[in-house]
Amino acid sequence: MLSILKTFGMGLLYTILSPFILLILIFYFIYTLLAFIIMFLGNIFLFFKGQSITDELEIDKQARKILEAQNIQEEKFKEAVLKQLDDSNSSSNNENNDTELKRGDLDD
Amino acid sequence: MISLLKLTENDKRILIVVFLAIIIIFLFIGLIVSIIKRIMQRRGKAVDNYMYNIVRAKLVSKPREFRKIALRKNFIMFYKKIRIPFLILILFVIAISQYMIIKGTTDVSFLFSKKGFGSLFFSWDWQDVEKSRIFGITTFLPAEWPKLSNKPTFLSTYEAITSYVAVPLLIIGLILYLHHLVGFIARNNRARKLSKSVFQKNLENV
Repeated sequence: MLSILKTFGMGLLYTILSPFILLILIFYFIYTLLAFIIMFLGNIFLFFKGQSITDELEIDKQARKILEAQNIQEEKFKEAVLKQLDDSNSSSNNENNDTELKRGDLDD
Repeated sequence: MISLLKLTENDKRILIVVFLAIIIIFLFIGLIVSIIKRIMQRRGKAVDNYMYNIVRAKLVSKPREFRKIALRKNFIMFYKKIRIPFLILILFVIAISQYMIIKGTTDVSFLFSKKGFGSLFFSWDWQDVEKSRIFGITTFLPAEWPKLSNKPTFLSTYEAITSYVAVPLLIIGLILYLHHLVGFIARNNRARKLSKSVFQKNLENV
């Protein structure tokens, strides 16, 4: 019941606001249409330079490079940590073996 | 006073119908609004997608810069999507222009009339129908269903053929344009919201 009332209220509110919404839509319609025409003309100009308006932006290229470098660094860091862990594990294993051997000598 | 408010059986029936119609219309509008809101929320998510790398790489540090880049990317996305609707609308303009040039007229009122696209649909004579009276006042509501004035017929006149080609192009082009326009507005709103929230410092999660 509450949701029906809410929907009804929303309908009433947006009916009252509809002229303003229509005005905003018309404004955006004209704004985007003009922008599209300007971009279209700009794209023709860029076409002769071998580029396109839809090409990847410079900031995107920079972001991609930074993230790639970060990923490489993270990978290296992971590898280093894992190597260190392996080294410490193997050294502790060796130590254990040595102590076991020493214990064996003492028993003999 | 009491005699003034006395309602006839017919008045009561009309009032109930009008009241129910108003409720249903508002409910329907509310439902459409909630659907549009949900669609806009979903389409606004594109901003997260195309701004994610830039924010993660810390290439923007101010809300203003964020909004500027987001708007530029929004325009590029809009440009990519709007090409087909724009082409359809250009075809509509060509269809109308050829009629105007050949006929030497600027009058295109035939497009939706019975001579044009309207000939494909049923139409009723709403003008001459008797209007209902409530409290003794004539309203705009029809008292009875009007007479049929046009049955769907395919005309082969020059005007009709032009309108059969042009009107669907106009309707499809405008619907597609509006669809992408709503997406553009949704992304714009989402970018404005994100520009505030992305750079907000929150100690609660530290």
